[in-house]
Amino acid sequence: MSDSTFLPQFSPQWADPEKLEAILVQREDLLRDSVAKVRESILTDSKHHLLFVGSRGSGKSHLVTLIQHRLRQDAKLATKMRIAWLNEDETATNFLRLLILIYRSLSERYPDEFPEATIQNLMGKDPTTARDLLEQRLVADLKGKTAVVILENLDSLFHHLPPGEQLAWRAFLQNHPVFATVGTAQALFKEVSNRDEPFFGFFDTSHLKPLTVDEARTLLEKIATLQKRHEVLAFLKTPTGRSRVIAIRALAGGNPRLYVIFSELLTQAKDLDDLVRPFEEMVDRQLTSYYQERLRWLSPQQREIIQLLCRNRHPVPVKNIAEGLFTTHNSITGQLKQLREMGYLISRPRGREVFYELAEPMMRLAIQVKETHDRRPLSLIVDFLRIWYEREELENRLAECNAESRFTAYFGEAHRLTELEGNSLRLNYLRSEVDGIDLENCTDEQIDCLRSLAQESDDAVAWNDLGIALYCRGHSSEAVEMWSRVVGMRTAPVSEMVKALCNRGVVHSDAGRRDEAIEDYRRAIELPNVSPYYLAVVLNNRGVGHSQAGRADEAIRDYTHVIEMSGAPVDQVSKARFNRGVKYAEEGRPDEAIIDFSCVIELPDVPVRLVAQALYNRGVTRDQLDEEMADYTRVIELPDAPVELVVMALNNRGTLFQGEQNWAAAINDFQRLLSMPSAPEIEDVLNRGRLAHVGKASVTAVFAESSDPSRWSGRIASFLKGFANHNALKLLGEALVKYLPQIGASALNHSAWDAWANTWEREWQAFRSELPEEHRDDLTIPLRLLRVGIDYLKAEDEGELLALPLEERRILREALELPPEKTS
Amino acid sequence: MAFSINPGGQVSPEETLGRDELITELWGILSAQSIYMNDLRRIGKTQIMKKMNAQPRAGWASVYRDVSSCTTAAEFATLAYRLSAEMLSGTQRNLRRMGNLLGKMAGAEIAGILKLPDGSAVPWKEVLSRTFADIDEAMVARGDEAKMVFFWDEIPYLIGKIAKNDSPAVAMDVLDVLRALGQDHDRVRLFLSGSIGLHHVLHSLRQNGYNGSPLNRMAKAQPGPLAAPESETLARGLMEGSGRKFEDVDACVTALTSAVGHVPFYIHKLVSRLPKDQSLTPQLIESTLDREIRSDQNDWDLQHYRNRIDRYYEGSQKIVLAILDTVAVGQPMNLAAILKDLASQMDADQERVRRLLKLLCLDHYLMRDEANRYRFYLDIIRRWWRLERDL
Repeated sequence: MSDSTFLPQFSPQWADPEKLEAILVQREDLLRDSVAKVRESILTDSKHHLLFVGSRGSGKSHLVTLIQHRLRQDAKLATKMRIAWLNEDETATNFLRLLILIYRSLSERYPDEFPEATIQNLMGKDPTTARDLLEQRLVADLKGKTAVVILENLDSLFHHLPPGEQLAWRAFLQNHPVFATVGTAQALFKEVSNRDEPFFGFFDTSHLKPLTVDEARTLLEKIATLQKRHEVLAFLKTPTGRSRVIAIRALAGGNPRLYVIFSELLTQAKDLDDLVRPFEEMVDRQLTSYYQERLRWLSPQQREIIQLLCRNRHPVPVKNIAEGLFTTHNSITGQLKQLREMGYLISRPRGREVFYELAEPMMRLAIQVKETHDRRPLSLIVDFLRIWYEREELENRLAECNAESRFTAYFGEAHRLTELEGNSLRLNYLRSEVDGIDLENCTDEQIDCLRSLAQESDDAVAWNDLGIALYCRGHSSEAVEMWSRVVGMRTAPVSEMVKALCNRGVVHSDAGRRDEAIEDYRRAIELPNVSPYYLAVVLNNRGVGHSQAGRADEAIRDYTHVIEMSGAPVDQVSKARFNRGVKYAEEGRPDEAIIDFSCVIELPDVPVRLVAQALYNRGVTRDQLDEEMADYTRVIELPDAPVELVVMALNNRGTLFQGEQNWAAAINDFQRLLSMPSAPEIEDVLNRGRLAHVGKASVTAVFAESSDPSRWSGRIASFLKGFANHNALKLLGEALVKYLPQIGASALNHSAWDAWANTWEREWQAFRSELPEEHRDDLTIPLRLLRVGIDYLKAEDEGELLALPLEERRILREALELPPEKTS
Repeated sequence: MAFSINPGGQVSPEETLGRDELITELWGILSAQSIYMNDLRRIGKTQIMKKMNAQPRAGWASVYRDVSSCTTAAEFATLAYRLSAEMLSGTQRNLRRMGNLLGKMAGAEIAGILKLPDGSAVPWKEVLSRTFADIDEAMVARGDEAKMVFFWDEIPYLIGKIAKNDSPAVAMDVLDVLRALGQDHDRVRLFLSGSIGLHHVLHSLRQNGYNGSPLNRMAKAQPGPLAAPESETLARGLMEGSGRKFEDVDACVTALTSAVGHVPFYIHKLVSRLPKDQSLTPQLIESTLDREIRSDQNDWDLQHYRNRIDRYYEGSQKIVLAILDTVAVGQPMNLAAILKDLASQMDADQERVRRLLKLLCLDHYLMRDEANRYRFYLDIIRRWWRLERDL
């Protein structure tokens, strides 16, 4: 490994900052904001105290190194800033000791400004005096500059500082605002997050997120670019490379340090003892003691859970954890919740199940080291090699390794296991990533993972799932490609072949390619040993296809096939019944249609929507008025019936009531219908045509119901509100004008006609102020036409119409069924 | 105006917003009496004191100190002396009485405990009383109106430490001495502050026989959250300064400030946690807050308000929880409404409920409005309470 490409995995602070800049991913915004905040601390009286929280290897030191680097690059800050970067392992049990560490750090970097003798002079003094003196000295020596104090492992520092010493530290920061702090911690700790603690809320905390698959890939690409490994870069961009990264992400989580280590495994050709040995050492000496300490804080059962999860490479469902520990689901749930709250575990809901895994993959490594005493290769590295390389590549790499090398053991173990188990490990990780996901609502990342699994496994199930996920995201043509792959497979199971043909048929049908759709359905139906469920689904689909193509007999034949099929599921039978009923009704065979709709209504476990649709259709198909009305009433009263069907049933029932001159009931239905909230599914059915009908029917019903203006007032006010609700006041106005001839033909006297116009005008004036500005004139012209129209009806003199401009006269004449005005 | 997000850090006096009216009022009070300011942690007390100290009114000398680092009465008295000496050094007038007591201090660094020439420590009461007398004299010499104010922050921590390191008796003595000095020296004012309710500290001292009322001659101040317009100015400035994108900036600002109860710290904190890659809407802001305060690993620690009930209200937890549940759902509520609601849940004695309501106000769970109705002191606590207790 040459120096020019060396990336220290464990001590980024020693790395060339430009290289760290080159491989930064995900954290660009965080870095920029953090530098700006520290910069503000240096240049103004405001002081920021930043804390970055992330597990081991999450990139905290990387980030801190770059903050420091960028600050030092800024020439404007040179005379105003001094940096005290404490060594990672240094600790202090009191504030005086912390001050000494800070002063020493400054002294090492700026010896002329912070003389070492200052510390020497404190020796022998009592601690209180020494602290007071050093506080004063530090402030004085800074001479108005700001000290940027970098404290890694701040959590550890706080654990060792008693509360009284923390108070002293905080008091110093408050009394002498000369520090800006940049700290890191492996987890949020009580000394900053607990409200009783002196430093509660003092730090501006940012949690470093794990890398996503895309970010992990970007990191590997950046490293390959930096190391000029063009072949690795090219490979990462291939579908195979992408799928490898997804599998690695499933193996190792989003820990950046692991990807830096993996990148070395990818980009270096031969022995990597200088990589593997320090890594093993770190795991053995640092991680193991750290995690052992963390395990000690847990109850015995919690430790058992952690150990079980360490032995599993995938997220594990609660049921399996309980079984593995010979205990019950209930007793384990509380423990899992606690472990999650303490940051040991993360949970992933999948469907109805919750899977658990270790929050830090490094923990698995450390526990593996503890449990094995024979220096077996670390499984994380072995698994990585198995996931990344094909068997032949492993053999080639093994042949190139020095037999004495520790690294040979890794390739040897990876090769041995691959010989034994094939490439199942990679597929297992990919499968674990998509296990139980909701195909109808996939994220981009899940689709990427489904694609990788399909490509790696070339499995019909995987291709079908990918097709469904793509279809549900609106990528129909790509979905067809995926299903076509399955159709083209010789070895695909019948169940998957049927699914692929059926789904492809649906997309063809949606796109108007009816013949291709029917052909796919035919091929599916003719496959041997198709299960009754899928056969019923495909027959129903083909029936719809025939129906759309105008082939009613074929459609009815397919539906009948489903209805008569032994073992067909109820949901498919009810669909077939409904579809056949519609077809019978269209073909003028109402009795048969009514029988089918009745069956749907009576079958058990039919979804409410289908029952409501069948009731509505049966109502429409009925001859008898009372039966028709009863069906609409059932729709209206059906619990959870779709609102659009309720609207349609109210409209039909209201119209029937009107036909029977049951005005109050008709008005009631129309009012109910108009009071439905404005929503897309309602607007689809309550369209302009239907609203125009309701307008006309409502005006008719109100006028016919009573001659009492006080009764009109309430009705009119209600309809104004209802039509405004659906933005259809103009349609109501139109209906009002068109109703003029009926007023002229009515038995009411002239003063009642005037009262009709007056009531409308009065209610409109009272209501219009509630409307948005743009709708306040919606009824102005119709009411003017109404007034002039009534004047005409009373006088029976066309001269009355001259009160209106020509355009409005034309509309009114048309409404009054008068011939067009003669012009000379 | 754009501001920089700084949750928990030190904001410069120029950027401390929305407190000008309160500060004017506080200076008015100080001209007549000392002040004890108490409120929840992170409400902004320290920022108010620092702004007052940085921008004193004409005729006032001032000094700010967080005194929580002092561990004994002697350290505290020495600090008071040292601060006075530093502050008055510019006037070329020494602290005469302390000078007499200490003898020659020339060349010695002022640190630690004041020592007499024979090496023994100066009695702390002597240091405090002579220092106050000296300041009084120095202020008289400055002119008719001259006064000095000590802004002493985190007083309850100081008293707690003295009780632990010296003795509860000394802690009581310190409180009484401060009270007496405040009365005896008209040119010196104390502006004390703390987030731990001093009534809890006094309660503990009273168990050791203390009967004094050290604060009864001091004006009480409780700054509370910002007024809505000021908190909205702050939120707008922070969101603009951080380059966040909005669909409707006014709606977002209103939603954010209301959700966190107009407390500057929470405004900073919530803005810092808002997603950067999405256009902000009121719904997104509220859902971000709910996710933040409910997450397993969070640093808002609103759980504290539930946990401390077991400590503060031992023996009354059940009824306290019922009161808070009731008010969380039905606020604002007067006593009769609270009692009626409680009666359906338990046998609640009216006087006991009155007493607990008073304590809940002292502990900043609740507040009483002008119409004698109770509501949560901070909306963010109510929000968390309802989420946590599924109300």
